[in-house]
Amino acid sequence: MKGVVFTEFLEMVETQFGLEVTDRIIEQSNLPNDGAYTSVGTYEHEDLLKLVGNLSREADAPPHALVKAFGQHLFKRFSQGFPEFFDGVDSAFAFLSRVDDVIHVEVRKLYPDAELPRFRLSFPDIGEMELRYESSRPFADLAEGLIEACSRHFGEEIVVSREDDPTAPGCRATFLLRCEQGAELCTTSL
Amino acid sequence: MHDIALIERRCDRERRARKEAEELLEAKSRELYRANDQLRALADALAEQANELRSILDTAADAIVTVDEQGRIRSFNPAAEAIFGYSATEAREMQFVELLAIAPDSDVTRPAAALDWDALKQLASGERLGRRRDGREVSLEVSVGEKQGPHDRSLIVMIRDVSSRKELEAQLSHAQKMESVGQLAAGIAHEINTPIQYVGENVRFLDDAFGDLERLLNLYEQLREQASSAVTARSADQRMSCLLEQLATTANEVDLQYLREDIPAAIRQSREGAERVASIVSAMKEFSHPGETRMSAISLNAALDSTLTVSRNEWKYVARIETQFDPELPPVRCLAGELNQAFLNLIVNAAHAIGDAVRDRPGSLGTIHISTHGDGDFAEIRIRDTGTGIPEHIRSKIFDPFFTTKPVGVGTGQGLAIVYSVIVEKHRGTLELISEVGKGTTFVIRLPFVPEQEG
Repeated sequence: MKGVVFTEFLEMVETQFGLEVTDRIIEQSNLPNDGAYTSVGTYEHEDLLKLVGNLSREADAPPHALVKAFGQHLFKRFSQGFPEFFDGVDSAFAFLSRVDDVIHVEVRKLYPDAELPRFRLSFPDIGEMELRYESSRPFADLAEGLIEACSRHFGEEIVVSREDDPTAPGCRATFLLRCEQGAELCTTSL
Repeated sequence: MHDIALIERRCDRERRARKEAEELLEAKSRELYRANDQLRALADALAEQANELRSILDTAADAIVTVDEQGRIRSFNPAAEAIFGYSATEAREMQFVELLAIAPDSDVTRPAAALDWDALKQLASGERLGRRRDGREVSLEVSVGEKQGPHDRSLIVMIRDVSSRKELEAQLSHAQKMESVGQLAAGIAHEINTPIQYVGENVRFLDDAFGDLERLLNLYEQLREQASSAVTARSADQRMSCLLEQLATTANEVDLQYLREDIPAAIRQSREGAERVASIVSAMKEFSHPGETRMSAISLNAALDSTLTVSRNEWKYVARIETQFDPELPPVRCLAGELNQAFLNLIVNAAHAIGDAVRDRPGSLGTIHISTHGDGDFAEIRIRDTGTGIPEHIRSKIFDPFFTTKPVGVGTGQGLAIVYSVIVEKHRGTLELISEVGKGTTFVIRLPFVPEQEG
């Protein structure tokens, strides 16, 4: 898993819960590098799961809620750090349609060995998008947070419902996004 | 825990993270440097390859032209410039079909864009007539390869100027024809000599006979004059009776009865002799079709007839001819002169094979059986002989140029090679050999009524 996910996670924890909690969960997680992450490095995703587990105990919050919140934080940081990906895109559906074909292509240019999740899209009805998440890592919660933050970013009212694949919990999930404020607004620039 | 201790631990993590980032950066830089090196080497190799390819294209003796999917010329090497007289820049503004001389009634005069891919490929292969910038036609041998790119496809057309070769072939063909004419000349001279001899004899006879008749006619003239004046002169009676006596004697001397019977016979025979000579000359003309380069529809039966006539002296001492011609056989579009040449070569070969077979049996004759019939889109000609047959081990070689079983100086080894070239290559026909040693050989020729390249 790319180091930027770890650095962003620790930064979020530090901002939300303070330096002491951050330091403690690092200690408790008994990480191979003692929590010294750089955004350009690559680390085991199990490290993040350990950090989330320990944060859950510290903050008395369920892990899935924390990961989802982290997804929302990550999207915000992404929109600040890479505004060029938002040029000419004016709806959540349009942005999410570009994840596999544009954003992941750019990621691979920098990190050819990156193991990225796949997003398969379909549009079952007007104003609806079905997004199937597939990954070797169980971060469907993170994807959900990203999707919700995306809809908020474009100021759209989108209801997200999720169905997990019981054979691969967290690794495969189908999200149904339904546009609530008028289908035409969600589908512009698609 | 004290804030200071926390900050120190955080700083320590940051330091180690920075160090790791720096190491990663260095590794990435080295990787980039190596990739750059490899890229440079690759670019150099590609440039060298491109240079090599350009040199090959520039120095190739054959024209190499690339054509896009719309039939437009994309590249044109120096050999192409030399063959067609257009510069590469001019050629890139042209359609490929503009390089070809295409019959006005052909479908391919349509703009190339209207041609589908397969039609374009077909056009760019085989023997074609090209058209130079100055309008002159040039004989070409064209082959085509297809290149499939990521976005489109193109044709790589190799073009060879075969004008010189064609000219040599024409000269060789002419030489072969001359050789045949030479070979046939003695026989034809003999064929013509026989009728001419009896025409001469008859004319001599007619000359003598007329001298005799002249004497008789003079007496008749005198008799007529005497008879007209004797009406009044008695003294004429004696003279008249003398004249009548003389007339009877002369008629007897000249054998008037014989002259009356044989003069018409001599005249008839002379006329037949002259007709025979005329038919041989006509068959010779029919056979040779001098200078004919375009295909025309002819009767194969008539062609075989005239070939048999001119070659009569080659076979008449060793074989009898049996023909079984299909009277309904439609005309065949062909190069008549060349086809006759092929028939002649096969008939002469058959006669030679029979000659070898009957050598030890003087006076006995073999048979050359020639048949024609239509079979779908093809005319089939079978030439069967009762000669020696062709041994198995040389059957695959008999159509090779310069292969011969005849003694040095007798055969050139061109006969059957020309048959193959005429039937298979020029008329898109087929040639099959059925032979049994000691029994004979049959050549089965199948000719399309309309050759593929025309159809």
